[in-house]
Amino acid sequence: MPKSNKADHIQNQLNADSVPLEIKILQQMIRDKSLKVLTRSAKVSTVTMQEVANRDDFVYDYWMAFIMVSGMSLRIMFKIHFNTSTAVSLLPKSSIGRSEDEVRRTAMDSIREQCNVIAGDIKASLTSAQITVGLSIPLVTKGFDEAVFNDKLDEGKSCDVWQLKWGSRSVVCSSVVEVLEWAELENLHFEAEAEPLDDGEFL
Amino acid sequence: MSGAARKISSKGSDKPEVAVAAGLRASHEIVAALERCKSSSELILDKLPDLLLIMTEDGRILKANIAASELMKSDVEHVINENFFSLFSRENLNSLKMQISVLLKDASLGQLRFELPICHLQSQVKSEFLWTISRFSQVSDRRGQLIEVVGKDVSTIREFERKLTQVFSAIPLGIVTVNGHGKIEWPYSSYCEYLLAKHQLSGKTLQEVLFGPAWGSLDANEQEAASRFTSLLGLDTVSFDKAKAQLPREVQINRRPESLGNPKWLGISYHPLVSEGRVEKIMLILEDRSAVVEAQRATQGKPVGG
Repeated sequence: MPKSNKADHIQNQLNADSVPLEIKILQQMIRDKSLKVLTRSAKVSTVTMQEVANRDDFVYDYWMAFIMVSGMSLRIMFKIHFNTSTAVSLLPKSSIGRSEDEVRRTAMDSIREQCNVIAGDIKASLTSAQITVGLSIPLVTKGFDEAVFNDKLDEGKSCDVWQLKWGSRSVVCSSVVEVLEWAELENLHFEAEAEPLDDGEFL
Repeated sequence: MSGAARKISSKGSDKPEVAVAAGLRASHEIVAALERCKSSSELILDKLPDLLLIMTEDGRILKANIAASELMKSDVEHVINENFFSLFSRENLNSLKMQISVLLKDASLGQLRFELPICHLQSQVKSEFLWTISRFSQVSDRRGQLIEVVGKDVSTIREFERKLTQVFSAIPLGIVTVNGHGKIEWPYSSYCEYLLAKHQLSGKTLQEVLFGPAWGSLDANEQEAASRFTSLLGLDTVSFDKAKAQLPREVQINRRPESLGNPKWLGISYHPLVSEGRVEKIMLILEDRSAVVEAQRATQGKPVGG
């Protein structure tokens, strides 16, 4: 893609009016799932969702967990950008007393699991709309890899970035949605669920 | 059909879904292994003793290893988004920006290497650093150029050099080294310039500054050995020791212009600097023996200075 076209594409991404309704629904769904799952993990009453100043940044935080939801009709890459102290803060109190290395590894596994749960929720919503998808395994890598991940933007991909904040902690979440078969998304609809999820603990 | 395939078939597990699931599991395991390998490689970079960072053109740090983070008084996780330029004084920052500008303007430049001191945050202590900057070309310049910075603390080396220079400036001996090309190389003691009555000896040959001006005081054997001096380079140590016996050990240097004083008698000793069993360089120690030689000549009734 020529450089000027790329710039236009990014600008279009930032301009919500230019995004197709189906993509908007998907993006809202992903945002809502991330808010719901992380609110449960953070064990606080309020997690706020905020927009991010630079939605096309090289890096958002030191670590990045990501997972792919993929099917014949669409592909979704979901990422959580975080640092170790935030990941550790999400661990249950039962992990206190373990060695620092063990806590760190558990925290990484915990964030992987958050990714898995969010992607699982997305899959459930898509399945209810007769959209068949599968999940990749969640991985954790350095946040700097985002510079490589988002280096090339295809016109068919729609990016979204948002921040979730609670107390002094925060994570940045991002999604890249690529629709392969628009006709398959006819039944897609999404309404934010009001009821709280079951309390769960990652061990 | 192979035995293994028959075994699966006999258990009724030859459904396509089973094969797909097995393939997925295998792929997952490979990806997870690659994740661990990448993490291991990152750890090597993190623990490098030299500092390594990647920044934007305006100095915003996107990635830094432990050494770089410590210099920024931070840790590898929280150093992200801090500004590398804060380590430099205004003058040095201008130099750094100029180097970055040169690097980014000239696509043919692979990397630039230069020395620039930093001011340690809080303590304000200065350290000499050797910097190597290059473009981080693994990503496009869609969002601006990224720069890879490698820094090596050379303060100790520079301090050692300063001390060595002080010694070489003060010592009343001529110490000079001839390199593999037969040329005098820096550093040499300042006293050499006084003894040989010549300035800026670097790059000159011994024939130009020592044997030539003393040619008249050498006998035929010494002249022959002096003219073949550079052939001693590359010899093994035994051959060198034999050959150096023929070299002039005491020469009289005529000082031009004569206003610089009377001719001087110099004692010369030759010391091989050996690498892998071969003479790589030759160090000469020159000593002013004029007083001794003239005293000897006076007692022998010979004319002084001739």
